[in-house]
Amino acid sequence: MAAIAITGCQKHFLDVNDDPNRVTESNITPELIFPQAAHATGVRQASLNFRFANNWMGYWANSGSFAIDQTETTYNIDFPFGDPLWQNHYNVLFDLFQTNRKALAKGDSVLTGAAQILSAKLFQELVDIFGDIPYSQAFHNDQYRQPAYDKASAVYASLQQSLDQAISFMQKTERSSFSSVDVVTHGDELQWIKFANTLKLRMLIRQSEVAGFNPATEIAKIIANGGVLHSGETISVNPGYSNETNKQSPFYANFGLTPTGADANNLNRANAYFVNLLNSTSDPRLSRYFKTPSAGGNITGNLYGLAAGNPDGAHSSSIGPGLAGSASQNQWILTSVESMFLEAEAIARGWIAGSAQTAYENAVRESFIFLGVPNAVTAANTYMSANAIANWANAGATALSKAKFITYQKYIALAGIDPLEAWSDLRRLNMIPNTGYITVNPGKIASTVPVRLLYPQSEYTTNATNVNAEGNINQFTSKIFWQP
Amino acid sequence: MRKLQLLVLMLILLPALAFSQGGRVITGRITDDKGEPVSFATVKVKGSKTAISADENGFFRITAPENATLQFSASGSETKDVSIAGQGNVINVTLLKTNTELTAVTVVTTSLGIRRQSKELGYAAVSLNNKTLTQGKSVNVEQALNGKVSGLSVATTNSSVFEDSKINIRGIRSLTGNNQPMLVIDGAPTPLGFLSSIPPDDIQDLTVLKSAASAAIYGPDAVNGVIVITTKRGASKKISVTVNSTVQLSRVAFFPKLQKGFGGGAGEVIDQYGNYGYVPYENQQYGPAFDGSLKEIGVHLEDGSILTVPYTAGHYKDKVNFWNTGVTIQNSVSLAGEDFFVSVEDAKIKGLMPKDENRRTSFRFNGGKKYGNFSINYGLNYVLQNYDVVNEAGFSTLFPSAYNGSIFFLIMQTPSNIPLLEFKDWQNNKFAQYSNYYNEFAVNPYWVIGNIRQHGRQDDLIGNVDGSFQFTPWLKGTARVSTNLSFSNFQNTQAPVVVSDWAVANRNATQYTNRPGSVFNDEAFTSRINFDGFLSGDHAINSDFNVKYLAGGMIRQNRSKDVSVGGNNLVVPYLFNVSVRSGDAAVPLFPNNSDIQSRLYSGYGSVGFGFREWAFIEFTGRNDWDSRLLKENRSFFYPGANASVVLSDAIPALHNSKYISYAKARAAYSKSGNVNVGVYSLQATYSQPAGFPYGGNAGFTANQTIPSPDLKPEFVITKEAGFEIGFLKNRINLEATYFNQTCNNQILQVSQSSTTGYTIGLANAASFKNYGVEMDLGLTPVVKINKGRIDLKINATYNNNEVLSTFGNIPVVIGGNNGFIQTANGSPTANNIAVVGKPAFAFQLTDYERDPEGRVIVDRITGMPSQASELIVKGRSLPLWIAGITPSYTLGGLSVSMTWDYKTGHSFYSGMGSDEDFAGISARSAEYGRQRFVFPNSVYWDGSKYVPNTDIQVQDGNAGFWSVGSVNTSIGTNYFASAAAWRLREVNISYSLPQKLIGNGKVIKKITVSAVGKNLVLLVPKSNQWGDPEFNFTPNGNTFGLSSSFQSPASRFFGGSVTVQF
Repeated sequence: MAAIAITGCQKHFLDVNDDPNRVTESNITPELIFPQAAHATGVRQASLNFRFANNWMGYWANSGSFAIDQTETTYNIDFPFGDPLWQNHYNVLFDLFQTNRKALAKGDSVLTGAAQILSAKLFQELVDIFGDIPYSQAFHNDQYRQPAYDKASAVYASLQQSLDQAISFMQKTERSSFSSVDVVTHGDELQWIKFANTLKLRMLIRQSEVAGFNPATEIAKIIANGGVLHSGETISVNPGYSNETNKQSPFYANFGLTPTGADANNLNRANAYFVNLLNSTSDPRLSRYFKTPSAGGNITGNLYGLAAGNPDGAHSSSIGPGLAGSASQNQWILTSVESMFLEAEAIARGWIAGSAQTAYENAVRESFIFLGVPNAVTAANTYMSANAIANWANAGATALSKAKFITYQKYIALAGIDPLEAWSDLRRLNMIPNTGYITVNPGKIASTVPVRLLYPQSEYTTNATNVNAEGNINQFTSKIFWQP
Repeated sequence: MRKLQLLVLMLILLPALAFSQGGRVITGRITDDKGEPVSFATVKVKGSKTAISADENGFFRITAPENATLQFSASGSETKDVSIAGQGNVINVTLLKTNTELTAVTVVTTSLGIRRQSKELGYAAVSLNNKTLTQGKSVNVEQALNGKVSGLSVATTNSSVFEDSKINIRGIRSLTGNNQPMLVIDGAPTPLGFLSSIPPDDIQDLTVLKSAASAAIYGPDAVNGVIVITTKRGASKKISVTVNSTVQLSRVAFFPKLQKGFGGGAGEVIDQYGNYGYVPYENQQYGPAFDGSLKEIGVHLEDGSILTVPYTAGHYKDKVNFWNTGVTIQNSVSLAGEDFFVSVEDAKIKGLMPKDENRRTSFRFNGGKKYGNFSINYGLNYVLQNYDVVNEAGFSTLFPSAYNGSIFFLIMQTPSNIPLLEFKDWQNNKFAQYSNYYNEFAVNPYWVIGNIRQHGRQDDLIGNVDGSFQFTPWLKGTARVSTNLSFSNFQNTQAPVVVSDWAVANRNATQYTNRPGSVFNDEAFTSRINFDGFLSGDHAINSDFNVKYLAGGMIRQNRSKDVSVGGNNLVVPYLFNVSVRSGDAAVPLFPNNSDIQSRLYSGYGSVGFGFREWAFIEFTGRNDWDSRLLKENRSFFYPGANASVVLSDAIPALHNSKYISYAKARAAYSKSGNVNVGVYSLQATYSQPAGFPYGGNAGFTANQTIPSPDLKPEFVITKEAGFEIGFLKNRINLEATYFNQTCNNQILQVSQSSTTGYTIGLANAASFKNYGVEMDLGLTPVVKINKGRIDLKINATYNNNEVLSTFGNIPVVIGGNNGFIQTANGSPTANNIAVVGKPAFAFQLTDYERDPEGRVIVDRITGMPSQASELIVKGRSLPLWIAGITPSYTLGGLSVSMTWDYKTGHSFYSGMGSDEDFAGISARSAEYGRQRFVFPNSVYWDGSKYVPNTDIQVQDGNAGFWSVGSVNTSIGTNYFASAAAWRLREVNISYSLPQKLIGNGKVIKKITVSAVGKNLVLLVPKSNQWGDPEFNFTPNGNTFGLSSSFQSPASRFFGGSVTVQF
């Protein structure tokens, strides 16, 4: 009887399942997701997940305070090695995907475009690290619980199209909310377009050594849409970083000081190879890249892969003020330095009209400016005139020799800033003249840096059929499609 | 809705089944010689087929011809004939108890607190009385149940002051949801957690209803079986007082196997021959072999001083002696009168972990009264718990680096030449002070214990009132309200890390950095209000048939609220208040800040028929409406039926048998629904990650789970059949039950590729079966030696299960191994996993690359193995066989009993193993004396085939092998072993002082002293080098056999108690 009595109020009585606590799929807006996704894109750039690239490229090495990481320093990497990187990238990409989808549904083209541009950057990085990746089926979880892998070259092609679309979106009128939501350019659509163009150029440059590759169509679009990022136009994010726990600028949080003033890391130190390289050219950027050791003395680097004998954390150099300047600094996503080097190479290859020398020299100057070298332009000019490796006179005559010359300087300009780009250039052009950056670990299983990472353990666990369809992957021989 | 109408119709029609009979109506009550009621005695009209059964309180009502003779009988009592001729219509009868050893359990408490004769039940139910429960003097009931009931498994997941455990009856029915039984205390559904806070002394009896079938009437919570507890309620007119005092001590036992040969070093110093040198501040123990020389430890302090100690394993024992002797002191007083019971109990537990304390005080008042046709029962239980423990989780967040995981691991990684115990006085001893500790990479554990704490308080209030009214002899109405209220709060405090300037400048910055103090406060409130109303009754249709019926409804509301806030930058040292901070407050996400509500209502009914007191059949049905599901999925119905036949009464040949004293066959079928989802689980959610909001900039990220919006309940179909048989006046009792459960519509958290956007998908996505046989054998007595006797009880359960299907045949990962993750070196992947055709659950582990014959492939040059890309699936997490053996010896007031149990067929993974290898402390890592060795049973590829490797040694036999992920520490199978274990769970010796000594019961009625030992023996196979295989990294969820470094070592208990009854 009691049961009958309560049947009457069943509907009302049981309708208590709307979540009063959390934001859900039904009340989230793209404006609420985007600032976090943009910040997270910056976090990716500063991530410890890229430490391997900084180490492999000879920028950084372990301090002697810790036992060395045998997996990384022998190049004998395993499946879990790249797993955090993979999962973190896809995690941010999903928030960007959600922003994109929800902004599009609302007809907010500009916000859609912004999400697409940031996505393109992260997807390109995944391709450059892993080759074929889930792309077209990714994030459509209602249809694909196990997304298939797309060919790396197809992903590149699709990203070019996506960037074209994003650029056209960015040419539309922005909503009034956009400038406050846009923690990247604060509503500057032109900067977004140049950012997109730079990403397009970066993918083209990456394919420079692919036989028969013709970038003309895409280059024409880049020129027509206003070209790439130039001096002072670094794309960075800053939702309001400050010197508090969890609120520090991401790179600073990882490699600077903790909110209480302690060294945030005691592990990552200058690489002796890179310190020697800059010392040998009296490069004033050295003291911007690295600090003097906390125990005093000159800037000191460690040997990468050395098990015993490296100075400890207090006696070797941590990351310098040019990169880890302050807790509230903007977090770069794509620097003007990188963009200008990309443009210089494109000019040297004859893809874009102009003087390769001018573009190159401006890029080097931009590196000095970006790092905060005092009297940057003068210092850069002195550096270029005094050192064979920087003086354009030594660039050679062929497009390839010029490209190698430019990317070697680009390598020097991107230490800690974008080690992935340097690694990609190395895999593309092998432009570093001596191999002092190779690990000294006697257990190393090769004397060349791996050309890729293995697919992550999590994919073998949750998406086995598709990842196994990629066959056996070897970190030295399974090249990315754009590698010669 | 139609089903509900059916139930109601059934109820309305029942009275019509009754028809009148001729003769006198006799009523009365049957009691024993002490005036206690004899429940469910059989009252028979002699020379006819008319028989009825008295109720639980001994009351009976029978219609008999004039001048008939009534025969009163009850199991365990004498039989008595009474003629009604010349007597009034009320006849009270006293039945004398016969020898107690012949007594089988006759009365069990079933659904809704209704007591039934066990012969009526078509399903397995086991009752334990207070004596059985309290003989081991366990602090809580979970521990007391271990090994005593077939099909019931209690796994203790750690040995903290809370002693969390997991209870499973007949294995599992849900792959990912709750598998623990329902708890019903005095008719009130109560969260299972209360089981650990009910003093065993307060329990009158405890019934385990093992089958889902047995509990259909309880609704969805009962799918995993029910533990029904009846607390004491006065019965006797004399007031009795019982005082009990127990002391119990515990010591660390079953330590992992460690190496004793090598000290600190990790390759920072290498001599010209490649041997690793000694590093005085290292915690990785890959240094040179102990040689007895004097060596410095730590670093030269600011004043130049340094400790020098012999380089030997002399302080190996410090790792054991670090742990305290745990002390549990329990005192209780109870007072019982005719219609009330009052008790107060206080238990104080001091843990193995230094300074850990938990104190529980409880108060209970139960009462009841009968006024004519109306009776009322009520109970109130208040439990206060205060605890103060080290906060290991807070410690690992404070120092997120490789070595600062848990106290246990801090202890274990201390090299054996380090005088660990000398660092106890972290405030005054120079070498123990924070800035001066010998270890460059890990903190002094005593400092952690002194500075990173959690203290909390929980107040629980359980109340229930039920009133019933006997409308007519065949219809009774009962209404019951029960509430569980729980208020809990805790505060985590972390004292500031104050480091000397010298240490800041000269030592490892990860540790030697000043950090402000922090505080975190959490306040939670939960309530569950349950209202039941039902009509029930029974009626003799004629002299052969009787009918029992019940119909009712239930409304339940669950609410909980949690508010928490913290501050990470306290500005005044040791002042732990959120408002005394700089920067933002730390406001944690859902569910730490949440407001949750769910509702359920149900209609249910049952009707049962009895034939001549020896054949019984019962039908049950229930419909639930659950707020957690979409409107269209909310309502679900589930039916059941069970039947039993008492063969020894039905078949005359058996009835008169000299050998067979009791025989019963039974069978049951039921379907039960179970909504295995949390509240608000139908939509994907978003939350702000750490850092956000930045001033005016809010930012949200998608959370990891994507639910399917139309989730439906899980359904379990249970079939069971069993028999009970007693021989030789029930000296030998044998009971066996076969059960088979098919569990469909399983709601799974399916691990997905991160490329889908969500790493977890939630859907109705699997089915599995769970089946087995449980057997109980009782021999009472086995032997009689003069006045003494030996009794033996044996139970055994075979329980297997198999996953029948999963969503798209994708294996489902059940849980992770996040207990302790190395940052320097990857911990292995080790999961519980559901794979079609395999048991629920199998383990999924990383493994070596192997040849087709299963031999490990090593590199032809380096001799090193490598990790395979694919994870292997191996073993099972739940035991296939569980056996319990309880022999006991009684002589007068003396009784000695012990409980052995054996579990086998399953495996476990020790997360500690990998951590130990990384740190170089495991016995394993010194197996080859830190020299190069040939990897056992390995092969290499010679270019065309795999060749057994007999001479290629690994290129490094020291840290370069043992601490390296890809060749050793990331390989899960290295730390995987059989979980089989023989355990002497309990030994109990108790002695009741002879009456002569205590004044023949004038003031003191009884004094019992007892001694108890628990966990005395643990026998494990050689492959298990790591300790108690029952430990699991979490007491929550469905993972089994995945241990981590976050648990105190297993322990052994000794204690004694005195009980005085006035």
